[in-house]
Amino acid sequence: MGPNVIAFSSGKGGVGKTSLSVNVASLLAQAGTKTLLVDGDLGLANVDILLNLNVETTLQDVLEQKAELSDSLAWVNNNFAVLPATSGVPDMVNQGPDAQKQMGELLDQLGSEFDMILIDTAAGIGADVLWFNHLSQISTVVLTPDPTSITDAYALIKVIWQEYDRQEFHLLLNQVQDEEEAEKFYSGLTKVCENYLQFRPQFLGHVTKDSSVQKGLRSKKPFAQEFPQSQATQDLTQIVIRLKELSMNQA
Amino acid sequence: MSTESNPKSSAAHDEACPLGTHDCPIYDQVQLLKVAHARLSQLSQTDPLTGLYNFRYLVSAVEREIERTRRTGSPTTLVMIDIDHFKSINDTYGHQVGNLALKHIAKLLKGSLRKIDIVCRYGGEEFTLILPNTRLSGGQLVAERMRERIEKSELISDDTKIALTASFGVGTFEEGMDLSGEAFIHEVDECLIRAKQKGRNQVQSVERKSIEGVSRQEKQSLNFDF
Repeated sequence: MGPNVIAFSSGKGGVGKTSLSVNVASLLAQAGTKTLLVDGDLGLANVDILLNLNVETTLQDVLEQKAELSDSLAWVNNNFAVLPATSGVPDMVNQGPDAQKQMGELLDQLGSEFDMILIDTAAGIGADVLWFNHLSQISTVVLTPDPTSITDAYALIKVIWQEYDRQEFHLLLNQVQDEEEAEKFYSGLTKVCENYLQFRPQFLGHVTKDSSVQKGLRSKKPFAQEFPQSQATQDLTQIVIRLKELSMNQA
Repeated sequence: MSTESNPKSSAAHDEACPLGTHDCPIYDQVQLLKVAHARLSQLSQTDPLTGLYNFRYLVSAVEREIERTRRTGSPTTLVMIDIDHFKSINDTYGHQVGNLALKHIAKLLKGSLRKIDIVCRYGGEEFTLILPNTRLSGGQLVAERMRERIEKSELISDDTKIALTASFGVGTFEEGMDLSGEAFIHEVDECLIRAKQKGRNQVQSVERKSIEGVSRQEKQSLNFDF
């Protein structure tokens, strides 16, 4: 078994997937876990924007053998690196089976350097989203109470299950009023999964709707660092603890 | 747009010749060029040894057929064929006999297909069939029939009977698939390699998982009403 790789996907875009993965990574790093965040959105990358990073070479450059892997890592601090992606280049080649194989090898290589690797995948259910999940030990699905987000999260789970036989998914309810609301949506979705797919997703946690998240986005710094006392940061801290437990069980 | 305002398009018509089509020197030249063009284009698309379409034609034909599948939904099946132990035929009997074997297989393939099917020589001892409007099961039947026919056929050279067999890879391009022509050919080629590895003289096909979408019932159950 290689490194502890965690994929963050959502089906629907705009549910806070990138923002959450950036903040989870920063909290993991803060707690002493050497963390790499891979921008897995090979078409519309924006991890670098949320962290205000100056990016010269990207994941695509590495995949196309134009750059060394080590030169493409952007370090936020000693414990936190980002492997950024190129934005605005629709690249079908980098989403095919060869890219999948190459990416698997890259992750193995990176595993010796990092304790934890997070992958922020693209929205949708494209081939790359599916195989990024396949290459990860843990699949995290981010959703909000928005009905379209719920349907898209379910569609994503169903497709990954069919394509790669994965039955373990960890749901992260974002932008909820409170834990009670999160659990209502979780148990609703769980019932449908049990009925039609014959397995239950796991509850990873929830993040309360919080203005500090928006403020963090605009300041281009992780809200977990800018607003450590905020409800969203406290919620996310619980999620980070669970992710660490999960990865310990995986190892 | 009227013809007067577009002299370029009107020049392309025979009627544009002021002398009419008879006794027009330009018209005669154009006719000769047309014949030469057809001959050259045929030459550039065919393999001189077997008379089959060549690799260049194959690539464009696959692109055209999968585009048709995308447009009409009717599937396109690709069969790739490789003569087993061809190198040893060349080494044992010489290259002339090797060429005879290629012609022999080409004839067998050509003689047992529909008019709309396209037979190509991929290169070396490898052939490809493009079967428009054919599902995987149909392609598998065709491949199995060909395999048997090749196995039972006789290639006689200098009173020696040379036994021939071939390996087959089969794959189908279906509507809604996100696959380039090149990737499709590659996928079927991988199957052919598998047929070789599993002991030759057999047919292997691309098995794809069918992915089922979210049904109306599932959508309704997901429409929570808290």
